[in-house]
Amino acid sequence: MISQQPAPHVPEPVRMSAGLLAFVAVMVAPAIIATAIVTTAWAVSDEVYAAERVAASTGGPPPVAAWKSAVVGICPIH
Amino acid sequence: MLKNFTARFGVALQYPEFRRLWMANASSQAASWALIVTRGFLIYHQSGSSFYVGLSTFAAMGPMLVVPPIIGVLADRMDRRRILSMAYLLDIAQSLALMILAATGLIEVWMIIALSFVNGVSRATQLPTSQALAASLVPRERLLNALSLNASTQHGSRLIGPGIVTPILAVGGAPAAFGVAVILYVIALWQARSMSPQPPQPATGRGFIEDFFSGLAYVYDRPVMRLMLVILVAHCGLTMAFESLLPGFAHNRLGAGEAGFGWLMMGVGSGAFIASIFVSGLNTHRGRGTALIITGLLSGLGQVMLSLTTSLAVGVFAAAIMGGAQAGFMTMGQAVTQSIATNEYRGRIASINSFSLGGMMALMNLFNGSIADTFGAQELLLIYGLTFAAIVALTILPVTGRQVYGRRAIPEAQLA
Repeated sequence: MISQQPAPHVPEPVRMSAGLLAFVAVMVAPAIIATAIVTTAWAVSDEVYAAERVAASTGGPPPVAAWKSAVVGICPIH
Repeated sequence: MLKNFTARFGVALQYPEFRRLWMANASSQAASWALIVTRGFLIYHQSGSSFYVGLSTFAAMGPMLVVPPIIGVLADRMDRRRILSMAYLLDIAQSLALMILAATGLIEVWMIIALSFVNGVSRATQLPTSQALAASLVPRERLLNALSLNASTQHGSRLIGPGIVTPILAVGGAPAAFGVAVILYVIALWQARSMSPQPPQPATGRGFIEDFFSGLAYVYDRPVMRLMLVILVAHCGLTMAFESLLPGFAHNRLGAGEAGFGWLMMGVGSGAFIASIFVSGLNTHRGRGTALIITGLLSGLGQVMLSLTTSLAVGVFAAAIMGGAQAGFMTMGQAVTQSIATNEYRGRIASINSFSLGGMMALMNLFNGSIADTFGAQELLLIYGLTFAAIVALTILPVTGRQVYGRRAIPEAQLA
């Protein structure tokens, strides 16, 4: 007796190419970069603000890495 | 007259399953805006800080950057109606918790922010799932109408949600306003449960990340869908990431301060609502293509017009053109991608729409906020608007572009 089982689903094979990787990067990178900026700003904001308070009282440059100040400067919620 | 109007603009509503989905969407979107207003009011009342109001909004929006890829894969593996019902159940639970906490006086700012995040996860689940579900409930020729009607609930709910909840907030306070959100989510759940179960797709035997990647590869292999998505990403980056630019523009260029920003946003919202209804009346492939070109050009040129004016009235008019063109272009663009996709990929296509487009908007809003003081909001609006109008004009030229804009038929091979 032949059973009426549905044919198993065969997914379309993915053909890897430079064009596909570039397309994936365009589609995925903005969300990853935006998430990374916000989470990094969240992680370093206390340190940056503490350094700015020190700088305001001493008159010198804030004692914190420039990239940390930049990330907090970019993120509007930190 | 009403019959003619419904026959033209609401034709997808004649399909009972889609009608239920549309009702569920309308109720949940109105509930979501009712929650945004009530949470903002309560947080400001408790903390006196706009920062916490912004943090609550961010907590509700943040999941849009993380959740859609997961949900897209799930929506292609499971019953989409069930996923939607679970999201509404989560929303009922979180708004009920807000209502009880507010009524007992136990509520604190951190609790509201945490529950905003839960609401955000649920919304990030609903948007791609309902887009994929809508596409499977109506025939391909009714898809633009269905997606436009869905889009009109998104834009209309910005008016209806706050409109319902504001007088209730004034009379009954926050617990009553949260109660309204609970009722609206119960209606959404009831409508979703009234739909027939949607059979899950056959298992692919792939892992989660591999399945999401195969969705991207599926888009890449179809030139019309691929070009449409790239244009949509450019559209989001160049014309839809204006929220961080408008406050400075309203203050410095229009001399209108915070009220000016509010007026411009109302212009954008009303234009979007009108356009989403207009687009739902487009019934032919060529008509949709022509409208896609016009809205694409107007999306850029409306922004140019806004950047050049110093009058608030002209600014609001330009913002309405911009908002209308943006909403129309996005809805038609998403209809192009969903009408090409086969049902087994629709969840992932919808999630790529949410994830990639939302990601680009978030990134450009961050970027614009940080460079607006150096380069000027007016100059950025002008350059971005002109660039996007040029992109639309140039993409009409190649054969694939003409297929995107309805000047040529999409090859059958790409529809398989």
